[in-house]
Amino acid sequence: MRVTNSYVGKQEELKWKKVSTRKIKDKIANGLSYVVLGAMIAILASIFIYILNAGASHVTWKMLSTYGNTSSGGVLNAIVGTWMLVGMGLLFSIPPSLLGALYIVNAKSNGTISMAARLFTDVLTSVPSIVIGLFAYLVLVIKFGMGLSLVAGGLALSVMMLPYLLRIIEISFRNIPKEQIENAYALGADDIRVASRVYLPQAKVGILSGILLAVSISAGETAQLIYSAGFNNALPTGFLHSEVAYLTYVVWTGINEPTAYSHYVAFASAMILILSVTGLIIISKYIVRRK
Amino acid sequence: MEEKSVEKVEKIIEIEKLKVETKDKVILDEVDLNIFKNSVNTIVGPSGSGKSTLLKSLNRLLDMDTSMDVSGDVLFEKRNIRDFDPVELRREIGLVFQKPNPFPMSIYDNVAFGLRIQGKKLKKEDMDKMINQALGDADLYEELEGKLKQSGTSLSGGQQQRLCIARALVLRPKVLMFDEPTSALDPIAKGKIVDLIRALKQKYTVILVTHDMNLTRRISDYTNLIYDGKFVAKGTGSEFFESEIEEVRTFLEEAD
Repeated sequence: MRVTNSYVGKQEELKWKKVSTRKIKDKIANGLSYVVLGAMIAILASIFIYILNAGASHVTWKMLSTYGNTSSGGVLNAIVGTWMLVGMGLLFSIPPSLLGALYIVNAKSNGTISMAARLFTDVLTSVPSIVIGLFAYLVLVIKFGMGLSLVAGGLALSVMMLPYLLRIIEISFRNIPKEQIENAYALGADDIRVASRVYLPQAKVGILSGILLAVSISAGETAQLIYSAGFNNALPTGFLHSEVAYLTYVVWTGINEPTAYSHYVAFASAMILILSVTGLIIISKYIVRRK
Repeated sequence: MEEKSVEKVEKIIEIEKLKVETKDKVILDEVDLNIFKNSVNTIVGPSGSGKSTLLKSLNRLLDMDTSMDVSGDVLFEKRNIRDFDPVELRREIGLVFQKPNPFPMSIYDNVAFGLRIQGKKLKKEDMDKMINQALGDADLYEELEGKLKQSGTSLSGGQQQRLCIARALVLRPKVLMFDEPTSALDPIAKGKIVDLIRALKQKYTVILVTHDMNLTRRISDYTNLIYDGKFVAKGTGSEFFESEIEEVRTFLEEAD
């Protein structure tokens, strides 16, 4: 009896030790997570505060409603140009991403092609934007004679948007229960009807959040646009052979110029960019959460 | 015992030497089977014996799976199913899956799904009539009257399964296949599905895949036992259960 008791006692002691070690480890891990989280928030908040401080007080209605060069004009050309380029990028990237994702998730598709498409888009994610820009310059601007323009800039952005969109849309499609897809086919739907009546309506939240992510990433791009969209102190006059302004370029050039006004313009542009991208991210999170 | 009592009943589907295989496995090994009109034709067998694959091969849903190789013939109303447009064939041979899976849309839209994808422009009154008829045939009309705008996913499991049946019935198929329709349901919901299948055979030919032998005893007109991709016994309800075939006895013992 005593032996049993002492055995039970030891077991209890071991159990207690195990539990207390686990609790300590848990507390350390939790503490570390909070430290990292705090550091991230601090870095982000300091960037926000710095830019808001430097930019907010200098933003005027005139700056937002006029355009011209960075030493005296406003940034309307860059605001409009940024969203035109992003819009053009979406126009070129949404259809192939949707079709590509539909192809990849379709059970009848050739597995090798699907795998190659996935590999290709993964590789594309890691190609530096300056390389995409250079490629766009040599092929679109020079070879196809588009000139530095909205279309060339939009295409260059779409190359960057495509892998994100394709992957997010593919994941949204895969989240739809397989049985529902089979059921739609069993009810006599063909591929087009399954895509339009099952995949697209059910994945619309995922597709929308993918689009917003692609928009927020591409709105902050500079390198590929220098080579494809150029820059313009006014609004573009056409789709081809007419350069386009964008906010990141204003930030880059404004800060390098010697006048105080140019610096204000640069910070104001950075602020507009950061606030609009943050707004988009918040909207996308809200939409996803509402689902 | 093979089909000796069923010679006079009209065959709606004739399966001849149907073989389904993947690279490494034969799932259905040159099976022959007749499906009889306005009857409950039951296919029983252990898990993995090829029952669901057989159903999917009858409405060519297997075409969706490129890893499956299908050979042999299936005649639907004396015409080879390969000569049908798969979309048309699937409207003639409906399939209700094991797990109730309504689309995340209203009850009305769920039932209307099959009609809308046909691209036909139906008048609202005609559409309503067909939907109410299908819900009535699936024994749901009274329960759901006035609630058709409610989401299909908000229904109970049993109601969802009957909604899936209504969704298939609205297309007025000639054959309705059920793949383990009661396995995910509680006993009350199961009882309703059993009564429903029994009633449906007046208008439709039913193919039922199950490993529930109680269910088979209650509603099956023709029972077929499949084992490792081959039919080892076929017969009318009573013949099957009295059969001395070793596999039948073993299966019945295991099932009980």
